[in-house]
Amino acid sequence: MNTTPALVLRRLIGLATTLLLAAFVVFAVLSVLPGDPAAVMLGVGARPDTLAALRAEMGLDRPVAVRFVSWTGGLFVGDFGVSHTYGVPVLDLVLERAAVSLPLALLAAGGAVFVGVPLGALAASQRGGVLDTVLMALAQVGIAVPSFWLAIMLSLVFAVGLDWLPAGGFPGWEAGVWPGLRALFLPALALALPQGAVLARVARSAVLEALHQDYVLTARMKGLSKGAALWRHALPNALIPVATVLGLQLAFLLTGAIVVENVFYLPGVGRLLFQAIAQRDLITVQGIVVLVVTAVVCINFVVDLTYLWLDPRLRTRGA
Amino acid sequence: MARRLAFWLGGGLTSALVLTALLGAVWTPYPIDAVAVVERLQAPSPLHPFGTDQLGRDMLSLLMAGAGTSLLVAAAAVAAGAGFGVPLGLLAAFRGGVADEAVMRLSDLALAFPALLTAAMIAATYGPGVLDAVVAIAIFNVPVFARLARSLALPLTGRAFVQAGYLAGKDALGVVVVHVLPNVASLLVVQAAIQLAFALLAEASLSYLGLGVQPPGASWGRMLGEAQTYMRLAPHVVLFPGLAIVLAVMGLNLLGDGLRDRLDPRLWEGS
Repeated sequence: MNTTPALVLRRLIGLATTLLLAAFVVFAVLSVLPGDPAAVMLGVGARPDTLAALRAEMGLDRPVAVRFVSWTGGLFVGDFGVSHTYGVPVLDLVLERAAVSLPLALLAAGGAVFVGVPLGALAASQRGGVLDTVLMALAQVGIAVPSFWLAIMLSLVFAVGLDWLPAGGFPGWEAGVWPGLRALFLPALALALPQGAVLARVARSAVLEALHQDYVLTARMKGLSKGAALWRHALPNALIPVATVLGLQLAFLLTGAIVVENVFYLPGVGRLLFQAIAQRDLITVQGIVVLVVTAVVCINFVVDLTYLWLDPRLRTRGA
Repeated sequence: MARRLAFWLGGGLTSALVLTALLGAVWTPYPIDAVAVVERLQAPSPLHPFGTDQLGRDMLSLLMAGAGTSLLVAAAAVAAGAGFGVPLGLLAAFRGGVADEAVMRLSDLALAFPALLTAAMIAATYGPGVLDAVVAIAIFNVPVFARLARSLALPLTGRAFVQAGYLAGKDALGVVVVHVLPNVASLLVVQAAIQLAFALLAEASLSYLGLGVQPPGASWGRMLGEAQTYMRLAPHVVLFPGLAIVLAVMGLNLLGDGLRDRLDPRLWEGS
């Protein structure tokens, strides 16, 4: 079982199991646990016949096992049910909103790399010096800053105070790429800086480790300057742990985007989720949770495989 | 030198947080429900060092009361996470086989649910409340502690002192409690400090979104959520609760890092 295909197969089975169990948990929490979704939707004082009608419409009068199989079966063909509030398929709703949330999360990931990796490498190159201390102190603060608060402060300064960027809302991609990017800039920055701080710390320790490797020492002995050895040899090798952490951060960025969207009133998946909670639109909540959990699990799977691909030693250990 | 300073800074900030929370539980300069609309959104002054909020309540009093709530929610969530996670991790390490596989699969599953989504699901079913936040953050913490306890205990399973425990007539539980737990406890405590920082951040996010602490309870995250509309008129209403969160989280992170430097033998060589 130590060959790569066998390992990949094992991870794939693990992935499928986790996804199936996750679907079961979501279904159990939102549909089976004590508490009647139809009663919750209609509120106290609902007439019994109205309640019965809604229960029938939502399919709640069928046995639990049948409901689970039919709901899970639907997931496989992209049928996440129809939103009670909007009257449209949940998947369509989520895909429409993902046009805001996905670019936001990706912009934030790009920003985190752009800020974190060079600063981490710079700190490593000056190890123990003033610059290193200052940069790492800044990273320590950055990690402690909640992105939603940073979002509030950035909008206070750059939108309210200086009026450089919009304080909230989204014009839609139909209005053009530039207005869309302008609306996403501050939210993405608020997400990117704390994650960039994490990346800077990872990049610093990875570069420091790479600097002690034989190939960097060889490069130095061949006459390469310290800076050139760092940027050309140590940094590319240090990118392996950085890529792994970045992959894990993508999952955080997805949920972080949900919070920050609420600060900037962006019509993304996060806003949809909170509107659905407020309106007790359980089928939409259920669909969003399943989709985000699937995204998180798949991202972790890809990170796992990337790691396996980048570090050949893991392939023979059967890790 | 810088590391030692960071450790003491972390210890100082964390002590200040705990003391503020304890003091806030028994005394605040003004009652936190003392609404005085005429005094709303006042800038910091000698009477109100951190100003007043949109309802005219003293921000310092709210911040003091909020420290207790935030710390309590975070501590309860981490304690529950460790309480379930550590025994599961030790079970996986010492039983191996099916038990190990089951614990690892369950922790994969729990890690797939970010605290925010769990809280959203619970809130959608039962309505929002502080318990949602505790449960959601705890669920995310269980696999963190289970995996750490497992990885720390695994190398110990074959060690002589563990075998000696069995030979002395102790059962598996006795061996784990008497011989294994003391050997892994210090690093679990370090992790708890770091998870506490994460839990504080998560609690703030959830309360900000209205999924955590509900009125009339005070919470830094909820203060931010409620005050955001007024930030143009009085920036201090969003500035101070945010700074409180940053300082508290930074203190716990620095303390955790510093403790790890001191307690983790794996970091000693070459450092």
